[in-house]
Amino acid sequence: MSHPERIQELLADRAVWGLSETEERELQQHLGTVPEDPSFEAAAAAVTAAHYARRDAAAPDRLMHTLGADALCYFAHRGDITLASLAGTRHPEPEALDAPAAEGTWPPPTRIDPVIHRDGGGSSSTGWWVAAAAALLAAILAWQLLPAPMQPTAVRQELVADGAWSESWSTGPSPLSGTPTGDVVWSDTQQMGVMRLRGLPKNDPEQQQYQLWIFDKTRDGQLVDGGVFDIADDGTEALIVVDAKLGVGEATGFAITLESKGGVVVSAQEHIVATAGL
Amino acid sequence: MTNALLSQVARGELHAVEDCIRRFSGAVWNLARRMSPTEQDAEDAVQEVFVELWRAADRYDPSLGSELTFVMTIARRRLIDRDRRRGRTVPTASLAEPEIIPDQPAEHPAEIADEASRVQDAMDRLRPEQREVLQMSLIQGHSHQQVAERTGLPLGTVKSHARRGLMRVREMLGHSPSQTPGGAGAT
Repeated sequence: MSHPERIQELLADRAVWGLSETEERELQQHLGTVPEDPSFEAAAAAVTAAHYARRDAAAPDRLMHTLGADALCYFAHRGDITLASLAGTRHPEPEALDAPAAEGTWPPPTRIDPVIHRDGGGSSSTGWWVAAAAALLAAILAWQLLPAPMQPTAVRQELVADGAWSESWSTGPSPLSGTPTGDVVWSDTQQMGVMRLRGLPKNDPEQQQYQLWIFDKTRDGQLVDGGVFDIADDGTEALIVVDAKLGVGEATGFAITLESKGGVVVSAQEHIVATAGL
Repeated sequence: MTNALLSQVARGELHAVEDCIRRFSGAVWNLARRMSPTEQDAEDAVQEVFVELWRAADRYDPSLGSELTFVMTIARRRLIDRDRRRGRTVPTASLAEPEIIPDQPAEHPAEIADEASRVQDAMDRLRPEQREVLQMSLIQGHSHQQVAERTGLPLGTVKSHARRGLMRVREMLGHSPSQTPGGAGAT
C-alpha cells in the first residue's frame, strides 16, 4: 500500500475512532512535514452534528451554570471582563455597563449587552447566566483573600530542596529550536514544577506560542499539556511555572513544542524545540 | 472578522458566549452522554469541550462549515481522547438512549439546517453497510470492536466500510483542508 493510501486510512480511522499510540506514530512518520488533511475529521463531525442538530435536549441546568461560570473565569482570566462589570450583572444600569473600569484594577471591559443580565428578562430566562456570574464573582472575591501565589524562583527553590526530579534541556530536532539551555524541575508529589530556559528564540505571541508537554508513565503514552508560554528575549533566562492541565502520575520527561497561538490539545510534534529526560 | 457567533466569542463578547452555550450545549451534552461511562464523566467532558471552544473560537472559518460542526469537531476529539485514556471501557449507549431524546428540530441557524440536510443526503447515498457502520460509530459512539460484535462483520471489514463511507461523505460535502480547531495534528 502506498503512503498516500495509508495516510488516508489512518486519517479516516482517527476521525471515526481515534488512533492508538502506535498508529499515531505511524501516521506522523508517513506525514513527515506534509500538512495534515483535516477534512476527514470535519466530515466525521458534520455527520455527528447533523444528527445532534435535530435533537432538542438541553443540558442540565447545573451543567449550564457550570459552563457559564467556566466561561466567565476563562474570559476574566483573558482580560475580556472585569470584576466591576460582573458586580453589575444582577442590577445593571445601562450607563454603568458603558463606564470604563477603575484605572489600574482590571483590563478595560468588553461592553456587555444589558439584555442578558436583566433578571428574568431577555434571553436569560433560566437565570443560569446570572447565577454563573454571581458564582464567579464570589469565587473572585474568595480568591482575593488568598495569599499571593508563590514566585517561580521560590517554587523552584522549594522543589530543589525537596529533591524533586530535575533534568537539563537538550536541543530539539526542529530547526526553530535555537540553543535552549537550562533545566526543568518537577515533583509528582506536589504536582508542581518550574522551567529555567535560555536560548529559545523569541516568539510572536499573536502567531505562535511555546507549549510544554509532560510524558507521564502512568498515562500509557498520553502526553499531559503543561501549558503555553512565551519567550520575550532569547538572551535572558526565563523562569516559568509548569501549568499541568491534568494530574501527572510519574513524569519521565518533558518536551517543548512550538504551536499556534493558544496551544493545541494534541501536538503534531512538528516543531519540538527542546526536550528533557527523553 | 465576521459577525458569526464564534467570531464574537473570540472577541470576548459575553452575549455571544451565552448564546454559544445555549445553542450548542445540548448537542455536545447528548454526544458526551453517548460516549461517557457516567453522567459525571459526561459533564466533565462537556466542560472541557467548551473551555477548548473558547480557546479555539478564533480559528473558526465560516466558509468551511457550520459552527456546530466546528463545535462537534472539538467535542469528538475531546471525547475520543478521554475514551482512549480510559482504555475504551465505555459501555456505549449506557447513558443516553435515543428514545429519551425528543426528536424535535432544535433552534439552529439556516446554515446548520442546510448542512444537516446535505449530510443526510450524503449518508443516504452511501452503501447500506457503510451507512450503518458510520451511524453506529459517529452517532451512537460505538468502537470498531463493538460495531463488529453487533453487526457480525470482521473487524477489518468494519474499518473498511467506515473508511470508504467517510471518504465518500467527505467528497460529497466538498470539505476542503484546513477546517479544524486546534490546527493540524490534533487528534
